[in-house]
Amino acid sequence: MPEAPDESDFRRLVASARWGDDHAWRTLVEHWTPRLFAFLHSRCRDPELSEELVQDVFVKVAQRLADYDERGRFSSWIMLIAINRLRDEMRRRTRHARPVEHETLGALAGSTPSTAPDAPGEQESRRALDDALRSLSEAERELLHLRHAVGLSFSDISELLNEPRGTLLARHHRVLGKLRAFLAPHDPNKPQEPNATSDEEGGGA
Amino acid sequence: MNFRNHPETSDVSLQAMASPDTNPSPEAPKGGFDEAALGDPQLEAQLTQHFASDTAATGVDLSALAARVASLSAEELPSRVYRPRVRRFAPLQAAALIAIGLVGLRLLGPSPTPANLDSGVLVASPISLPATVLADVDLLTRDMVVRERAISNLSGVADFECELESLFPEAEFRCDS
Repeated sequence: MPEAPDESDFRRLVASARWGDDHAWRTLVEHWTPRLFAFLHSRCRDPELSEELVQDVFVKVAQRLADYDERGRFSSWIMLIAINRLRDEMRRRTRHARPVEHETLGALAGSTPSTAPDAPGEQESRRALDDALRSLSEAERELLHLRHAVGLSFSDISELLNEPRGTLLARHHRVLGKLRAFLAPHDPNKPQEPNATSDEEGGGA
Repeated sequence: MNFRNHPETSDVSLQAMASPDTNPSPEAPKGGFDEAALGDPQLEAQLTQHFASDTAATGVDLSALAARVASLSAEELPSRVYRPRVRRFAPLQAAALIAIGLVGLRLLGPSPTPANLDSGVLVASPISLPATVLADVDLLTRDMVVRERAISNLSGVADFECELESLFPEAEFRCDS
């Protein structure tokens, strides 16, 4: 399997695509489509809307490729376009909200059951993780999606969200602690102790 | 997914943030935090798997989506958009050449009749051009209209629009100035 392109590869591909190299453009699109889709779907929970937004993002990227500043990270740039496009769409939908769209907007908060046919144990574990994710704040969920659904590095996320890398690392660490605490009672591999809680929570009966 | 920056060691307390980065990843900035020490490989792998399953559960064919998006968005690449912009002057040049030719024909053509001169009014005698030339001019005009519409969403074409409007008022160019 070929190694995933990194920032220097993106820079090279963007430069080639800018001058009409179809192969370079296709490589960029093929690399980023699953990541953008995963991110957008994790945020809006609507596959059709996610597809539409992925398409919009690439059209925008192509239109702005001539103005792209190579000093910045391509990963952050494309994700910023995706985030802004998603926000615009959500704002638009809120303005023209109809009852049928409440499902999508409600799901934006992170409440969607999975439709994947999992094994019973897996299903329970997935549901537990879904519940745990739902218990997080919007910013915390966004960080997890960028890191684990898109696969961005903390440096990319730092540039994208305009926050110090250390702050993001600390937040990520804190969020993992919250998830651990939430999941501990559901973990089938761990013996259940009556007063068991996460070390971050510092709890005890 | 891109795992190149995923942490590989077990979780430690927040105190790790204060410690210097003893084993920085290639992307880690100097003097940064120990990313690996702040992670939880097992939980992070679970999250990655969770999001991947979530995406897979949608049933969307991402390869097909990528292929569709690539061909559609490629039309918006600067090389595709600007090329017609450069070529747009070709029809203009052709039109100018034809105009010069028409003037030349007029000058070399038959002089006005004495009757016209006597009346004090200069009446231009019609020039009969071959049908093929007229058809070419028509085609050129139509081609320009199509090209103009294709680039009308670009900025900085106002002058060009006005130039076209003055040349071809019947072509309905949108001149804002």
